[in-house]
Amino acid sequence: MGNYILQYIGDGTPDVQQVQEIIHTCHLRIVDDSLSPRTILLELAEADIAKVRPELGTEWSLTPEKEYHVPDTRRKIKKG
Amino acid sequence: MANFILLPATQTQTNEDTNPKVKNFLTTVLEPAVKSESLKLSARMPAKQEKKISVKVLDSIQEDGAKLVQLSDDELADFRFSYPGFRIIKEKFYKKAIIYHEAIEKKAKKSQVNNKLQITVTDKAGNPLKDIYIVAFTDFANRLGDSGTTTAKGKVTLALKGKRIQRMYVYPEHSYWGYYRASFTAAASLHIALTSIDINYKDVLRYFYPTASWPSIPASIRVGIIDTGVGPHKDLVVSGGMNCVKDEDPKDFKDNGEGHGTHVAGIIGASGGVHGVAAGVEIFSYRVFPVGKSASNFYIMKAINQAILDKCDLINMSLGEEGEDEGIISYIKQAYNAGVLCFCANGNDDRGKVNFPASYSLSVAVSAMGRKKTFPASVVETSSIKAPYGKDKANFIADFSNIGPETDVTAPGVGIISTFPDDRYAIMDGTSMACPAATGMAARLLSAAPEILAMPRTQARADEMLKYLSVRIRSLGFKPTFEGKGMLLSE
Repeated sequence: MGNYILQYIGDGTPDVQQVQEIIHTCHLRIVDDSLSPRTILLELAEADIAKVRPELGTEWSLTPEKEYHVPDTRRKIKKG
Repeated sequence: MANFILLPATQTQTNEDTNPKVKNFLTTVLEPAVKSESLKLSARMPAKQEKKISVKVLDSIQEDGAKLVQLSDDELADFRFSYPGFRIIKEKFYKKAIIYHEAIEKKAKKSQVNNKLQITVTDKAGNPLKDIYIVAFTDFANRLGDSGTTTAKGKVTLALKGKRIQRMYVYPEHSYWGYYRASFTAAASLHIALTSIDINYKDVLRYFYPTASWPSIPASIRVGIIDTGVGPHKDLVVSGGMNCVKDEDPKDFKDNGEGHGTHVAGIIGASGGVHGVAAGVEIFSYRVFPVGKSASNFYIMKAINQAILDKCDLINMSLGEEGEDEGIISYIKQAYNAGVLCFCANGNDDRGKVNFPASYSLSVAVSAMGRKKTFPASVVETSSIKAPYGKDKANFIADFSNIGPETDVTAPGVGIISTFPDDRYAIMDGTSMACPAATGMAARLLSAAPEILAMPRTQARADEMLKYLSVRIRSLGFKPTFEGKGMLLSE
């Protein structure tokens, strides 16, 4: 399982009803909907991605959550 | 020369929100030149200076859509500042998706440790200092050696291969300057006495920006800091913000304890013991880093979105990673369309490629520079000195700073004194420090342009901010891949 960002990339207003149906049909878990309806953080299994993508059409993108580190200039030993 | 794709700030074709100059550029100005004649475009420069940017149109998608142009890497920063409102994407080529099974040679060599080095770290009065991180390299090129943190008695023992040490770095979290020593033979024990920070010391930030003598900025400018959180610190006033980390209190946007965001905030807006570049600015803190962990791009997207809703004028992002991120791109784009400029750190990968989101064309990418004799002898910062040097040979681009044609400006980022949580002060290095120096200076300069700040919050406002700043940037004599257009300086 991993977190994925569902994001509206179309023109105009996203169809909230459609997205809720997809989430329900595909049994996706909402991790964070504070940016809903344009952006929603979802949890899903990698194997389910291929199943979900065609349901979304061209107006929604699904990208993996990515991590950013606190920048640091300290020199470090290479761990062997 | 390289090929770049020019697009309007939003969508792939111009629309009613597109900056008229961008629309004109894409539809009228360039169209006759699709025959591949080279154009000479005027660069926006300080008074009495003139410069032409050579642009060759190679291809076009629709009359009011994307243009493929040829442009010199060295002129890219000039182009961005002279013609704001474009998304500029480097032409990229994709290979067929063939997988090559590489033989991975595991380096399972057991290190031949035959020397134990006991190090004691104290202050100048001989008091032991705990939690000081020390790293000693016996082979710097391969990053071989040992590291450790001092105990309450100020002691740490390192296990090394041989007595010859190529480089040793001592990194205190706060309150003291670090220590650096190269090419020496260590006995069984070593004593290091660290110098405490004098907050009146003239570091490189205060060399270029005499912050203590500057008045507070007159206009109300709001800067959003997307980081580890800010404060508490007696020199800082945090006017608002949000903790964007999942399962943490959204109202707890003070520093998570790591100090990075507090240091960044102090460079921008501290007032008291130390002075930031734009003292008087309204600081909004958006915490995206959980303690000891990385920040999700989703937290960063939330933070940018909230900064737009909070009507920030500038956003500081002293963070980055390799590779683009469509999610963050869409929010930076949204910020730009809401008249908000995002300043981003180039990254600290020893002259590696400019990190994302600095590499994204609608953000302002900041490299780090330093200046000799703006830090004491034998401190960690001495190891950051590396060519190229500027017109003034004391100025240098920090050895750790990432560089590349995406760089827009450079700013001081070596040995910067600023605030640290719980009313302490710390020295930090990095493009993380250069970025707020540029953001702060942009805030100070823009405070003298109330007519721009009063504009409706649209893309045109962000365009005008960039144009206003562009004539207040001076080259320090580095190549554009190192300094972009140069450094923001007061008139």
